[in-house]
Amino acid sequence: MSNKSSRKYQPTPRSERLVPVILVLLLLVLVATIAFVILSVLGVTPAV
Amino acid sequence: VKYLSILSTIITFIFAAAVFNRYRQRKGTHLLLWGIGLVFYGLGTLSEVILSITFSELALKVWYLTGAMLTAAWLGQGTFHLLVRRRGVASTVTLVLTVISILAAVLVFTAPLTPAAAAYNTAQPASAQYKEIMTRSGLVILLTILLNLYGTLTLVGGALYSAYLFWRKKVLFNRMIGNILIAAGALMPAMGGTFVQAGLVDWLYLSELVGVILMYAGFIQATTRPALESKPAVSTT
Repeated sequence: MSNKSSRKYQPTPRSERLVPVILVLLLLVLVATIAFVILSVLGVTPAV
Repeated sequence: VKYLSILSTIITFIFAAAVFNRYRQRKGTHLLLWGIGLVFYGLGTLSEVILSITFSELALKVWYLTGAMLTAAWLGQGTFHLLVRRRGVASTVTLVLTVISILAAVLVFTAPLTPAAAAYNTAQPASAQYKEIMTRSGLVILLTILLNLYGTLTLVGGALYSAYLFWRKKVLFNRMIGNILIAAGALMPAMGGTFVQAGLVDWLYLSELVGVILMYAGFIQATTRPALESKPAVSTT
């Protein structure tokens, strides 16, 4: 049986601040990694 | 380098067994695809171990095919299968990926090695020597880039998207943390490839180890069901 209330969690002020910061940081690293690969294809950085 | 690769190989195959075991219990094509991706990951790190002991053309080609070309794409395809619900889309993309993977295998295994293979140094990492030894056609390089872009975007992007949904809805804390760990872990080998291009060839091996540890920790975290928790509507496990 599904019980939606049991899936909820009570966020702490710390997790409320920390989680979005971590998500944005990881997203930035992802973008930087993808950008490096694209730049290498364009010959701006060392080739793959 | 050798010991990092040995550790990575052991952890990766244990992780793959855990994913296949979950697939056996729960079904779900995404689990099967993740399991296949992890077997590729493990074959890549196992090849590194072999190449640190002796030179083998087969090991070098398996290392390049699995580690550089297929792992990220197949792991990412698992996430794609989980998140894209429109009927037939994920299966079609899986079929295309299978055909591309077979093509990649044919291209890699039929490519001759250069005379530099005779001077292969087991004391140096394969990532520092493969460019001089392997003949890679333009198509192989293009496929390597496309498969890695696709795999990194779907695996990391999918995990971040899932973690964001859980955070926004304030549900399934353990799965939110699990997806953050999976995203961070998946970024490690992706960045490791970038390190190789930047000349930091040893970092690839460390990033592979840290990457698989983080992903495994994320998988355990996301699949551990807390007391009273019910089955989620959306998850990446």
